[in-house]
Amino acid sequence: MRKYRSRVQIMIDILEVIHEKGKARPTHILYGANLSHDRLKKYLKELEENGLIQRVNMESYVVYRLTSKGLRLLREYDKIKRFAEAFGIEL
Amino acid sequence: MIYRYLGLADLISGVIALVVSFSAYRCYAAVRDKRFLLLELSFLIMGLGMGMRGFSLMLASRRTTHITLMCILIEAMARILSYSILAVTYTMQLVSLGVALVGIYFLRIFIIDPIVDTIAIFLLSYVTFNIGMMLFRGKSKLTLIVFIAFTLLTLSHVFSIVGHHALSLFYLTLSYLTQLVSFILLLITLLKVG
Repeated sequence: MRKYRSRVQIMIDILEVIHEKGKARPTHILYGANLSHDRLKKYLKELEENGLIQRVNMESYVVYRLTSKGLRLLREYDKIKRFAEAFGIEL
Repeated sequence: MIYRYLGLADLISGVIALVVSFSAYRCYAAVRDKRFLLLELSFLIMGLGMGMRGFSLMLASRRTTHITLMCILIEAMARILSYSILAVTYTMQLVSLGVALVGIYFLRIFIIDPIVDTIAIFLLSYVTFNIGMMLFRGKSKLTLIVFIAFTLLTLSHVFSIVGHHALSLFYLTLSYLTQLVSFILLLITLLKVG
């Protein structure tokens, strides 16, 4: 059976792509996190609103970078995942 | 005298429940998943209830009997509320329709004797079954510990029923000890998670 990624897992995938590249353009995030354009826009908006990523306008393009809150979440995610797994919650 | 030790066991379990609640809150604050919020709320209510009952038992005297009885009653209601929230948490991610059907089956068995412990057993059996399903799928050691913890918590209510019906102090004490061990297991899980 095909297992779908949860909302949280998709967000973490996006944060990981941005973290790996330092600053990432939407196209890179789209391929790296394996998302459609519409869903990427929705998730980027949510991550930005939650203060996990920051949109930086360059001269002719846009890049995203992690905020300190986003970096902290990425570091703590392993613990959160283990806690959730222990209590039988699927992330 | 023994009820003071039972109160202490309750108090320790209550503090551990509050630690679990705080950990769940931290997870909720990080990823905004409602299930963590419900887990937090459930253990918060459970912890406050047990802490209150523990305190009242430890400080119980002839003059405070009515306060102790009131605390025991409030704790019982808090316990049912917290287990109900836990059941809702796991219903939000039902493994399959079969899980719901098993839940209804348990409900039909236990609803004939709707006392607090029985309702608690029904709700906890449902929660334990869900965690068991996750254990079956994931085979994680931590899930196994939590599964054992919830199984023991369910057993503690079984011992409580036996203790109350048979007026046996042994089973009543066993109920408190089983509950304490289950919360210590939850604490071990938290320590292993980091």
